Amino acid sequence: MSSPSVQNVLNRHNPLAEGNLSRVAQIDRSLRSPVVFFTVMSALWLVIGSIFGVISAIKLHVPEFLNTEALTFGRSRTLHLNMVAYGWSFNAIFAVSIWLMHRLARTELRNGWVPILGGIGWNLTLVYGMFAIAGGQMTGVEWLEMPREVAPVLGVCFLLIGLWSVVAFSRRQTTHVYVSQWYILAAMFWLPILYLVAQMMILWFPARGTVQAITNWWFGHNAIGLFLTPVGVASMYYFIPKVLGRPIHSYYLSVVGFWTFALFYNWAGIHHLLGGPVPVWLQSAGIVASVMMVIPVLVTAINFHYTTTSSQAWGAIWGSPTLRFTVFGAMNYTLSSFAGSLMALRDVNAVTHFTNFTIGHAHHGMHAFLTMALFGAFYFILPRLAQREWPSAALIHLHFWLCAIGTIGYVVVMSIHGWMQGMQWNAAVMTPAQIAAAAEPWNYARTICGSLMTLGHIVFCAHVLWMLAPRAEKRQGPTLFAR
Amino acid sequence: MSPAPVESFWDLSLLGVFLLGLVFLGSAIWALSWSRRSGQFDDLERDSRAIFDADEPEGVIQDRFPQ
Repeated sequence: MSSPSVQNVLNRHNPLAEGNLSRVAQIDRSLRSPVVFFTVMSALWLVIGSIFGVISAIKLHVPEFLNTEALTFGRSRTLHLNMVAYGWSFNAIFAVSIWLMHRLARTELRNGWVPILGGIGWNLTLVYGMFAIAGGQMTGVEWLEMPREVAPVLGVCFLLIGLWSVVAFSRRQTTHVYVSQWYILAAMFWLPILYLVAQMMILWFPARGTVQAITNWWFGHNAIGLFLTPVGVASMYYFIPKVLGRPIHSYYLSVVGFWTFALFYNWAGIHHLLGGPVPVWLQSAGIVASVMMVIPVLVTAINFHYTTTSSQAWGAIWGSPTLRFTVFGAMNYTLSSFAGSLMALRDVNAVTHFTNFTIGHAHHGMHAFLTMALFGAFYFILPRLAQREWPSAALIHLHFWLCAIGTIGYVVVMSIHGWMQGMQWNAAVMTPAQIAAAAEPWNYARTICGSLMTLGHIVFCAHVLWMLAPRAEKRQGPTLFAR
Repeated sequence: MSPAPVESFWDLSLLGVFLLGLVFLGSAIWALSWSRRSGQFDDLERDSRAIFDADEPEGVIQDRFPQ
């Protein structure tokens, strides 16, 4: 019998050696490079994009602020949207979906350099796109403002990244497909089709007349609804029961929720064009679909509510960074979705359309729901990849309160002011100049709330970079890191 | 009178989008059918526990604030 090699002897005393790691830790280790890469990229884009959001907000009450051609309101606001959408949300979703799919499939990631290559291409292309927007080379089509030549490159990069969720699914070591896997797989399947059709019909071979607008809002709404939202919901369906250590209240309802979500969401975007020169039957179809979205949202709300309702659960939620953010996101998913269904009703839309109410609603969905849910996911994932604890509980508390107060304040301010704006415009008693002047205190409040969120994002980004800096001692396994 | 070239192109494009929509619908029906055939709906009570394993078992809270 041969004597043990030097390497084996060393491994026996090294908790991070391959043979000493649990199955889950091996999977996490294979995912470390791409997931950390996308996480860092997303955090950096979030900070830069948020700063552009604050710049845009300040310009509404101090128009001469940073008065350069590259930072006019039209460009800084567009930079904000594109940076937080394609920079923050997409990178964050790549990170969370790759991690979730491999964890749920109980399989390791192989050839991790491929999604990293796609990620490098994705982020470099975004940098080019942002400079083009700042230079005035934007298309003018909301959600597709970057020059059309970026589309093929982004498409190839997306395939290099998104493919790994499909590969993980095809190599799964489990028989059951958990509901989170359904949401993520569907999102990875839906987005390329949405992007392809929108690019072709709006930028490469433009359709005529209102078909462009219809396609625009079909894409814009579905980019949120059929890509960002499903991964956010998938994350909540995984982390809430996982961290609590108890299965979801009604798994049956979660399956119903997925299939009704898939059936109704894709028609809803047309509610952005209510009252416009669009066939009325099409508008009505959009309204019906928007109202039918109550079914999957209600199902999700019931599930999360009953899973988290018990005296022990509330203590666990408040004591867990992951759950504090995720449950906050889940509650706001319900509220923003119900608000969206109401806003699609003709009578309500007649007031809220073209007002700050819509902008408040967009931030309700994109920040109070999605961003907070993604923060929650990162608080669970990163310690397990980096094999070390978050450096500071105080920074997590600070991050939560800055973002929570900022985002709820923003939604409340914009909703109240948006409703007032709509009533003022519809009454036709005040002049447009008077209506704009009446908005000034609300615009200050908007800047304050946006600044709070931005400060929260800076705290998060700094905390991530601090955690990943090679300083703390490494620990073994994907464990509960609380001491 | 034959339609103008641009109109013909758009007729063709819209047909393409319509066919893409059919593929989309067909794939959703196939996925639903596959789910049923592969037993995804057979025991939902058991499958709701698919996220737990020996490393991160049911009944154990998995995350807390650092000290």
